[in-house]
Amino acid sequence: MKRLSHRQSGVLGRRIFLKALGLGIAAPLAMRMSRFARADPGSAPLRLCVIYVPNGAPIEHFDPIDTPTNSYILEALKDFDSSVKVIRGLSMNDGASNHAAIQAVLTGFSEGRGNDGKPSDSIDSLVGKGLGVKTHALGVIPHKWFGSNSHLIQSGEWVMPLESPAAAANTLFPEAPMDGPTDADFRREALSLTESQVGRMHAELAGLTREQNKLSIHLEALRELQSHKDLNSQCSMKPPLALAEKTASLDPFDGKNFAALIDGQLEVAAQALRCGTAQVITMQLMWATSDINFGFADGPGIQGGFHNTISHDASAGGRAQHADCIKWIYARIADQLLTVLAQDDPLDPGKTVLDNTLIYVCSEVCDGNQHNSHASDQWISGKPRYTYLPTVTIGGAGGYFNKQGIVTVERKHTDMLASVAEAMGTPITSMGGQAVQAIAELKA
Amino acid sequence: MSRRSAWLLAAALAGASCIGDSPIPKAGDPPSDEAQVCTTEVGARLLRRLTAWEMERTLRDIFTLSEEEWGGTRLGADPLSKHGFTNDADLLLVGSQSAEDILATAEELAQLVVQSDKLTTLLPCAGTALDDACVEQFVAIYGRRLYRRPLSAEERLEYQTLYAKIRDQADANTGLKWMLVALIQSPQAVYRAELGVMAGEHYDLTQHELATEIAYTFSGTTPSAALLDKADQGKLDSEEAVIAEARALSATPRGRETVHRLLQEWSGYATIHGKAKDVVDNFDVISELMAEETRRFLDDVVIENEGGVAELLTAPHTFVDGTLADFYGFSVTGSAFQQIDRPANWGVGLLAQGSLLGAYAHMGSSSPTLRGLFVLRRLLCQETEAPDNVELAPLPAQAPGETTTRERYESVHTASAQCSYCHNRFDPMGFALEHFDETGRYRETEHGLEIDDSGHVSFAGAEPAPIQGPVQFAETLAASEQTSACISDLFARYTYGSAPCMNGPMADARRGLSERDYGLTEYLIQLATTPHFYRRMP
Repeated sequence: MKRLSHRQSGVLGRRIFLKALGLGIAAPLAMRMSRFARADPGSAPLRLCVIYVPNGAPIEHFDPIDTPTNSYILEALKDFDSSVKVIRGLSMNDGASNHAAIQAVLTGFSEGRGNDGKPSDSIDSLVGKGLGVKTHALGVIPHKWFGSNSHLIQSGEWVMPLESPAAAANTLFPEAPMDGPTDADFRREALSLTESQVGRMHAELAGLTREQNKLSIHLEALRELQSHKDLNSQCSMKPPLALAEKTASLDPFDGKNFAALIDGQLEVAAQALRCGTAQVITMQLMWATSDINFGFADGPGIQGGFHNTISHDASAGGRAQHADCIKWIYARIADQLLTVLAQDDPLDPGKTVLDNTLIYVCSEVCDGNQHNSHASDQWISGKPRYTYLPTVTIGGAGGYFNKQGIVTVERKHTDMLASVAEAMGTPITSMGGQAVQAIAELKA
Repeated sequence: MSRRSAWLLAAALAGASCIGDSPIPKAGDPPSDEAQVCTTEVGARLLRRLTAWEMERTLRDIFTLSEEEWGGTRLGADPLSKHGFTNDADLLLVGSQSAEDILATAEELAQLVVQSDKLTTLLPCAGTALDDACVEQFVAIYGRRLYRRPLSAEERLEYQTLYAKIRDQADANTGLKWMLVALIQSPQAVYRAELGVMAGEHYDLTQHELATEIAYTFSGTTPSAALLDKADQGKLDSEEAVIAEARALSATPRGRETVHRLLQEWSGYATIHGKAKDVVDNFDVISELMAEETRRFLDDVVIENEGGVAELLTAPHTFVDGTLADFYGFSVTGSAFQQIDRPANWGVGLLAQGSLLGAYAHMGSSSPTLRGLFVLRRLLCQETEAPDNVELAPLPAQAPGETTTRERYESVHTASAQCSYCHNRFDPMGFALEHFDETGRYRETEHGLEIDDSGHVSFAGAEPAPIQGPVQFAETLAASEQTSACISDLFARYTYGSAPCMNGPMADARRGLSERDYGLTEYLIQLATTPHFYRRMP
């Protein structure tokens, strides 16, 4: 893995700045790109994109042979074969199972609360904090009906992903600062007043340690909020986002718009990762028991609710339809996200953005019909098949991963999360009070 | 349902999520909660962050915003305590996600409020001129509502200064907008203070803190201007005055919704939403009706008829529409929701509700473990711990027509001493409900096999009480003081947002419920007479 020295890093910063200017990127954005957060000043400019796809995958159509994209579903990633890794054998940690395991997908624990009783921070949030950047959550019809199977959790708090590509674009690419004060300035004024009020209340509660601790967390959050806004305000150039703009008039909760919405969100994520206005993005594609009819326009043309009708179908024909749906999603990822990330990395000349990115595709169950979240043999279409949490990584993660495309490791998914953290240069040794260890077989 | 109001349901629906048959405890509360030594009848001084549900109702009420006008708070679902409650003061924090959500909520709402039509309705002087005097009036009126007390001169000045600063850089409306953002996200608005003022050896809650506690406890929203007026005038200075306010608010639609929310979070019945069942296509339609059935049942038994624990557990009736009646196999005429008596031996009370039975079950089979654990934890207040370093053995595969669910469970949970040590405390309670399949529907046999619905109730400190079937199970629970004590403890915990100390007057209130002097809604009102409601320890 290529690692730059500390001294080289400074040169890189200036080089990126100049190159970005050469690419026609406005000076404030170029400045921001050159300040891209890195765990280690000498390391590659890494990005993380977590993509949650609910309801597992029909294993007979997912499981690749010999090469990572040699399966019916993963064939959709064929153009990026050398960047794809399939991890076989993962099981949910903490006994989390069924669709409620959505809470454990990123936190490691079935109710988002660790063995120590404290909220278990999610992997995207941990990485974001490790890098000192904001973790963004984008959704494609991420919620409609609610239950314990509707949400991803970050930092011990339920996350409401940005459901509209237009809103996501505004968040990830804020308008260029104009001459004179802007909303960002006024927001800062308001936050500053709130911060002083919280600080005052904190002082007034001397002796009430527990209440002061609450306010300390509040204070930290307000400061973090202000610092994020500062960073965003540096971005002055929004790239063309035609697909996202097309969704501006669409209802972001109407399943009929699924194709347009997923394309819009993937476009926003791709451009934000490329230009560096976002470094950690989580995407929630539907909620865990989503029943969006997959007969929507420009979709795979399969009539029926995704969860109940399609993913639960035990018949060979029904499972094939489920595979068609999942394959269609992977194809969108390839077309709208990977194609953009395969371009030159403006932050790291000579590399592509994909070289420096880790895309982690995950689900809460192994098999949509069996609902098992533990890697195990299941009777499928009359014969036993080895099922596992369908887990795919795409991208080089700055050279962290080895080149082997299919890895079988019977481990808890929290160890995979540890690998994600380590790949991002923010290693962890525990989650929720439980020891975790990065999977050695994945490393270069 | 609006997008955000639906989102706010998340926590309630997530309430009693069970994800398997492993009785692994989920430590939801900080250790201090359980370790609290109960030596006094009053609790600690504390801050209670508004729940998402409370914040939505608060802002909607203060600024008179309909669902069409405002989609609701951006604040996500609240963290759940291990009892399934969303209002645990120790868990309600303002972390980075919540801070961002509150800010987004404030900005969105402030933008709506400063629009000319709305603004002139809320602040008539703005129709003439949004000058400094008018802004001062805004702070006085709406600052007081958001703070739930009058603002001090220094506090008013802070906001007026912020307004003037932004107005000078932009315009008056922009200044007002950002001043309102600051008001909405101020800690005085976001946290309910229960701090009090020193009065001898303890702290008495201030009149405004008391008004706030009454309003949120009994109507789930902010005190009205009229209630604040009473606080201003010191009129909430007697038990009679407090009880009168509590009783009046409980009778309002907001009050009924608040009691219902407690019942929903405690029972977890709404977790039936989103459950899929192998044997029923589009179970979403049925689960929706089941949730409505239970909502009507609880409203009728607990709120309308002021029932107590016994009525809750043994009421012989339920509410179904034509679709649900067909599903259950009840005989009704007409398609509208209607009250019916259950057929004999088809269960009684809350534990026969399809929503609970379906929620505490798997997709393809009933689960004596999940059902037993629900009773153990929410009706008997007992916890269970999974022993360390034990590889939990999987249940044998289902074999319809060959083995019953009970036999499958017993083959592992009873056969192994390692498993039965814990499972024997709750599986036998679930066995008594085995005449209900995983969808919550009564079944005479299980795929032709006879169902053994004998079991026992594991009361603390007593020999297991034998039971046979759902009716005797419910009656046994209803007759026990332990059940009443558990429910009263949990309801008090919800009311206070923290663990109560069941001493002195608290014990009296609980005894009233146990001895059937009053029902559950009156019990909640009686909690307003306890010292913890108006006093705090140093």
